[in-house]
Amino acid sequence: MIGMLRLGIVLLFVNVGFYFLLLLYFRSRRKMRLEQRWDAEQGPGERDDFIARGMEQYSTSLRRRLLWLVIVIPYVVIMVLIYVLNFA
Amino acid sequence: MRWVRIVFRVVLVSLVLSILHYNLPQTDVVQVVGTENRRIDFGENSFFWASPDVGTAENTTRDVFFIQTVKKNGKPMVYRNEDTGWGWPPYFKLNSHNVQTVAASLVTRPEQAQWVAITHYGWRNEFFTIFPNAIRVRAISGPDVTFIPWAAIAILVALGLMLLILWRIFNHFYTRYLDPIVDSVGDRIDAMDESATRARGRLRRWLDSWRGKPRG
Repeated sequence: MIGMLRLGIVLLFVNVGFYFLLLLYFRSRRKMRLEQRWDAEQGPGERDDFIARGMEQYSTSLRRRLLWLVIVIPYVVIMVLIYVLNFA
Repeated sequence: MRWVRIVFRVVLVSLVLSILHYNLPQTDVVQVVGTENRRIDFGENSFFWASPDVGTAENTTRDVFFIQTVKKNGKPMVYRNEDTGWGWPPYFKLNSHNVQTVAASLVTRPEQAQWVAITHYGWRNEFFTIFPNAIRVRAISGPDVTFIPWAAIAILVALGLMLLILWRIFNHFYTRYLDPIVDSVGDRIDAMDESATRARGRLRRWLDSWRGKPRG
């Protein structure tokens, strides 16, 4: 059981790290796209407002909300693997 | 320098390939001729042995299950049958006792040959006394069966996707944040260089004026 706990905790650290890495990446990419779109069309409105509004939309989007699956999916995969490899 | 780089790359690539070849699952077609357990004192080859059964104590010596087989070409192949538990490689194998029972029930008999597919990872190497670890043992109808290694393909695809994602993340942050910084630092160094050259020119001209040379 100690082994299982150790694996679970190490995996949690790795997954949370990956979660924040992906979060930063998606946010940064979204911001870049918004900047590019405003620069190409010179509108609508002020540049900073346009970007702030776009980022706000992102933070409530489904994609952003589903990102926590990055932490959960590895555990589900391991549970499925344990069943398939030992008991199926 | 070029040769050093080439040698370094060859070593790195062969290291990655051998780690993959050691850890990815493969399936062999064999006849089981015997099963046993032996006490093993782990020495310098301990790196190539897995962990004790899940929940049992860790010692420098323990009993390990073995499955003795003969391959299609008549050559012998010996597998070990150990739990990998929660450690590396991540097969989460907890059922070595069950696997051993299945292997024992599938021992081939002189009157009726029994062919068996053994899925395993690892290498047999006589110089280190190491054995591949059997993950799954199952009966098959005949020796002429080909297995498509779906599990290995799936793992490789998943690893490739992971690398792709990490590379794209790195690339994004590099071009968006690091490139502009490097550019601006480069510009500043260039500017410093230019003003230094100009200043040195002035100093040189002033020094030259003392030597009686005309100011240029």
